[in-house]
Amino acid sequence: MSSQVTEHAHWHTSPYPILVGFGAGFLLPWAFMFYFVYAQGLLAVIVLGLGVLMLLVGGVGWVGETVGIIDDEGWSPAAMLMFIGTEVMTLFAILVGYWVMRLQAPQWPPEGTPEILAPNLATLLLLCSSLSIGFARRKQMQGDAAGFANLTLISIAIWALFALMTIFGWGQLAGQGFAIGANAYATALYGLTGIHFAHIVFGLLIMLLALAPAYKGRLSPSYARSMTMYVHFVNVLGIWVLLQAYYW
Amino acid sequence: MGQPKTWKEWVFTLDHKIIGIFYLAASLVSFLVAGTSAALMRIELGSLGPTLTEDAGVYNLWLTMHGAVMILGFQIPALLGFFANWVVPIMIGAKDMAFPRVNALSVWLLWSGILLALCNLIVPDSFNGMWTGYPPYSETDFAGNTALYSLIIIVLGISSVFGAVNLACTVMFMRARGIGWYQLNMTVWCVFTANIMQLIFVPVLAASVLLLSLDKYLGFGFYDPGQGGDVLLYQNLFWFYSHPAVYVVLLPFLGISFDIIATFARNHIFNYKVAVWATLAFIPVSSDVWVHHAFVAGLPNWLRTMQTFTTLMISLPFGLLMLSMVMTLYKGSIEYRTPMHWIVGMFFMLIIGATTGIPNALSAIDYGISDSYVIMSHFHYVMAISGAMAIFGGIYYYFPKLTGRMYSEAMGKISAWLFFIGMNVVMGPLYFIGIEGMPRRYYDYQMFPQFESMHALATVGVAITTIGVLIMLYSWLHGMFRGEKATANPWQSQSLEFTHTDVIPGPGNFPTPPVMPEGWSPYSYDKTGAKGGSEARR
Repeated sequence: MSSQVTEHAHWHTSPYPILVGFGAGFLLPWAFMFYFVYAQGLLAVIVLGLGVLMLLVGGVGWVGETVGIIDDEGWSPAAMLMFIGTEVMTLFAILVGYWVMRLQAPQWPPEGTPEILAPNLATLLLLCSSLSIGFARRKQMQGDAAGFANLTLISIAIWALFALMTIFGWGQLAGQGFAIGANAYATALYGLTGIHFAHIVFGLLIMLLALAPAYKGRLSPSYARSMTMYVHFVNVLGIWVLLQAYYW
Repeated sequence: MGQPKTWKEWVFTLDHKIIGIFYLAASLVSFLVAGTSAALMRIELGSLGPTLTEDAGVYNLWLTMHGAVMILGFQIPALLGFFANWVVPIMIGAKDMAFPRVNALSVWLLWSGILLALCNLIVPDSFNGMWTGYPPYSETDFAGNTALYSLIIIVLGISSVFGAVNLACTVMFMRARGIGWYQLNMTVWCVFTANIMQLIFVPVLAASVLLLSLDKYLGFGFYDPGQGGDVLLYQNLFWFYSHPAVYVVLLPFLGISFDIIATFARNHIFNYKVAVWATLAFIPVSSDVWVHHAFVAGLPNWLRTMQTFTTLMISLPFGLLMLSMVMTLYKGSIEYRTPMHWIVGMFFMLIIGATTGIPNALSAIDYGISDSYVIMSHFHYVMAISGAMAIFGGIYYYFPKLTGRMYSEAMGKISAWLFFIGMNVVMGPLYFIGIEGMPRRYYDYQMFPQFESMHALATVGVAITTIGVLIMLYSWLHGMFRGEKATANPWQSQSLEFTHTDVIPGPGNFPTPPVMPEGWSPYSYDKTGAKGGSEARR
């Protein structure tokens, strides 16, 4: 029926998904295991480096092939919405763990918990990124590529600062002897803020990959919209973590 | 013919059909690994005392590999990887999946997960905590490398989520003109629904095993009562996914079975719209069935009573689907080719599995049979064997489209019957000794010498099944290289993957984007044409 078409057929290929797949799916798990299970620090660093390299080469190549070249008629935002749905379910499971712990505890926070200040300022700073990324999107819709890119860069800077503040906060707590295994509150606090931190890192990656195409004015509207959705989601998550971990 | 010519076109492919073939290869490798583990276990249990090994830890390793790899490496990738990828886009008239690169990423993540699972055979501290990985055992050093277990599930989970998002977008946005929601094949509906369930439930499983490793290696205490955690939390989170996982497997293999039955009975799907809504009903109903796994874990009576009813609720949509399936045969012009033999066998196993499941939902009975061979036999009937039979029937059904050649009907039918008889000889006796008290997961059963003859019989069943599987694999290899040349629509199906594509569909699937006329259906077999069509095939 279609022999004429298939004989001259062109098979679409890309080397980047396989790089990302094995980098993230095989090497990063082994880096974790070398470090935490087998105490092989050097090997862990080598495998981690290789895995991250594959991820970066794959990610940059992937963006180069698609962003600004392929626009998927708005399917990406729908996909991002579903992805956020799965994130909500992941967080829900972890929150259930926290709620069980919290509601069964005879005293909360448990004995041995130092005075911990809620990171109100850091969370307020985080929320500013919702404004900056919102304005960025508006600039893109107005056709102002440079404005869009600059505001995306500001959002990246805000998130990077928030990530540093989180690490600094953890360091301070650990310095007071309140490390991960200290008590149930430590499990909850480090667990919830850690999960949020992982989302910040992933979001930074999404925004960084978009930066170069954004400055060239090539970023597709569907990518920009999905990216914006993710930033808002992680910011809402930040408020939720603040309320759950510090004010309950 | 639509096959890539160069290695680059294969390895770096973005085409959904080639990616589907990679899924198929992964699932068959997993089937062989997990099946070999099962055979080793059965030989070990064939007689009292040590047979193959004196180390119970080795037996635990086989048990872990069998359960985890069979479900996560064979069934889910075969159904939601191979069939979802290869079949669904063509059935809806699409040229590919919505996100081809994400699709490729999903399959390579799956292969990463399978390689990680194979690493469990070579690392010095293999994980031996079964596929359930319950704490507190899995958080001890005796369980071995718990991180490997967690990471396998997380990697496979991410692969599943990406695949599910991709497939859902494909079905929502890429249907050809003229194909409405009520004109989709049952395979499409079932795979779509199963993927929505994956999106809801997989993240919970991934989170539950993540917390396991955080506890063990980073000092968190989510499951450690000593640190204020709760060990039963894991059981609840794990089964919140893992019971619906049964339906994630069940629905796609029912979908494939519906399509095979419709084609070979040359009949429309009976009560099509009811079947569609029954399929969708699995999403809400399956979200409240997990608690019955904790019946013996010390639940209050009111909760056990309530959960008995919510668990039984699943019988309603399931019953409607079974009704549609049987009635699709009614007044059909049935032709028993190899795929139908596998599907008829599947139907028998499924009904046995379903009816033996009802007592398990009743908490009073569950107290007596929990952790016995009754449970093991039940879920093998309802999910493992019936699922495998539908998968193999589906592979035979699409064999001409995958290879451009026909397989040997005789070998196909013999393999189906050997598999069917063999698995009944395995699981039938084990069900009955389960009622008499044979517990699950035991390396030896010195305290129950009276069960030895039944165990020996079950081991003979595995030998019969193995012969069936070997004949099946040989029939595929033989057909692939020596089989007769196939035509584009060897079954005279009305579905798009047969009517509108080349013998082996090439890139883009269709010579021109299909536009379906008003009232088109993949099941539009008319009664007068039924016999004619059937005769024409002879």
